[in-house]
Amino acid sequence: MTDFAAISQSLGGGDLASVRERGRERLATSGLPGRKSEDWKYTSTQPILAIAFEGGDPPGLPNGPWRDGARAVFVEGRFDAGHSALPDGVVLLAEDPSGLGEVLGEPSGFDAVNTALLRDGVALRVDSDVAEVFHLVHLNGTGASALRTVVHVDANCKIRIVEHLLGSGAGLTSSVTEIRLGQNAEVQHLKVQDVGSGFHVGTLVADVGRDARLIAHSVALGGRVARTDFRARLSQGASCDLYGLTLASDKQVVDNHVTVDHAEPHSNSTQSFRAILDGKARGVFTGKVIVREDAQKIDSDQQNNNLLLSNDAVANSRPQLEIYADDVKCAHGATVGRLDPEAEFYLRSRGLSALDARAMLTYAFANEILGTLPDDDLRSWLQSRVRAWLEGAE
Amino acid sequence: MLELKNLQARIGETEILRGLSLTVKPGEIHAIMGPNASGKSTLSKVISGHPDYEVTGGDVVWNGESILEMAPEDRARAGIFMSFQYPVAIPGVTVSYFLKAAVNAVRKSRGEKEIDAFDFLGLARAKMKTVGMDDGLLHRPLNEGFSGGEKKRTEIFQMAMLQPALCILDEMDSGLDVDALKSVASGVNSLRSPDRAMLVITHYQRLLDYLVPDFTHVLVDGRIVKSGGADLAKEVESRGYQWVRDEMAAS
Repeated sequence: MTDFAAISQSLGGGDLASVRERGRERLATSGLPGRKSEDWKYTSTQPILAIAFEGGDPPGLPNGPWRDGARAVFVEGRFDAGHSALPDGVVLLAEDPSGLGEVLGEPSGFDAVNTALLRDGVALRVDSDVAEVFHLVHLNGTGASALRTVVHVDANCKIRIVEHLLGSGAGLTSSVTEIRLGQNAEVQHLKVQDVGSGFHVGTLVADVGRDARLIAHSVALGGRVARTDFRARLSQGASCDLYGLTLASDKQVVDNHVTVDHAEPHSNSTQSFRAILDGKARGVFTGKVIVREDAQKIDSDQQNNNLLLSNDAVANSRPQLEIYADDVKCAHGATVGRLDPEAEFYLRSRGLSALDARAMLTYAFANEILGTLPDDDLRSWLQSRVRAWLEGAE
Repeated sequence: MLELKNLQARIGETEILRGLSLTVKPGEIHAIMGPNASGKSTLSKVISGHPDYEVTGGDVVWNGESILEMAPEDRARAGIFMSFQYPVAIPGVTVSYFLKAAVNAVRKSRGEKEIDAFDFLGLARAKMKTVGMDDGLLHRPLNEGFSGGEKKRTEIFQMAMLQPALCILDEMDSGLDVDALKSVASGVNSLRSPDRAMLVITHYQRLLDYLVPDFTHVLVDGRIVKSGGADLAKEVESRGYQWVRDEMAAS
């Protein structure tokens, strides 16, 4: 049985000790979502809470797009200076906890876990157009470890951030990322979750300022249970495009839980989440779009498409629209299906084997999400990761 | 080259082909005309191996061997190509990605070396020129958002890349205006060769003005009821399919 408070206590004093204590207090008050939690309706926390999460065995740093350029590497929640190259404007939270405020919006029980386990993280202030991609890499083993990323982007400034969560063993990787965008700012965020047989619970919370743009992609390649909450509040003229791609097999459960709050008029959002589910995997999507009473001229489109590769895979899709304004355009659609036999025949009639035809169609399904990634290098890196996954799934 | 011997086929419980016989030799162009529901599209799908169609009698013989048990991909690798009436759109894959995989699948089956990305692009650009296409299409998602003409031209381009021995053109003229029709037909004409046969399946004669057949066959109720030269197509067009039916009834 997991005892997050005890794990938190065991991290001792020193850096961020008072922050962790605050997390424990909040955790004691809020508790963790249980069987009856509406927000965790299709994803059981039981497999996570059955594990003691004794630390150890983090993976080494593999090769990847983080190899050159600006990067911050963390091992079991602690900064690894030897592998990192911090860009200007980045402050380590363990050195200066002042960058750490309250988690935006309505923090969940697992956000409190993140605070209770926090040993480090980054606070990043962006005051120019940053051309270089900033990579955050978190390596976790069998323990429960946390990372916090706090980003402030000043008006008219822009940055691209990639979070890589890599795991080996049945650990828990917790992440909370807070992004505040000033007027007309832009953030392109990508999370690549590859925690193997481990667990992941993460939150991406954004306050998207006037006319600002958030483009966030989340790619799930691993995780016995992986849950990501997205919470975005949009000011006037702001836009938020969220994309998700899940590749899951065996008994994996990948749950994406989106809340987009159109708090002010003329704000736009899209949510496009796709899952490829093999074996006994489960893909869960909840997409809540709130349009506030005075938030007119809203354009929102939500799509959740699930491709089942086996008879035992399951997809749960829940659109939740709460619309209190009358001059809005909110579309949503969800599909659960298999590969199109006509498309398969088309490819086979050109000489592709049945296996190759199905692999190409599956790749095509995933590639519609990857194709929206603005960064060419990251896109082709992920395309090859997806192809490798598909070859392994066959 | 291709022999259809008393071919009978059905989809579900519906009998569609009821004893169709036809011999096609290298270099020949055969037009198959017929009214709606006469079995035209079934014929093309049965030859290319669509899994929904069941052959209940007769045979399809290709270069001396029955291909009824062959998978569609093996028929393609053996040189049979069908241009689809309604090509399928696959939004997540570009024309070039798809076609490179197809070309290499065919090359591999022939024991040839796979073509690399550079040589593929060179070849593709050259072939696009011969069929009158803009190579910008290479990087667009396959058939996604293509106009009717672009879809059909892309089919012809695939044909040019795969160099099949038999081209089955299934209602290639459907949904095309005259200009698009002319340009698609000229692409097909550029692929005519003494080694390559074509089976042009159409409801209307107008395509055959630009793609002149050596033989014309009229298909009614799953059988070829009348065969002739290029003139037969014009006669059918002016007198209608009812004329053929009436003639059948009279004989």
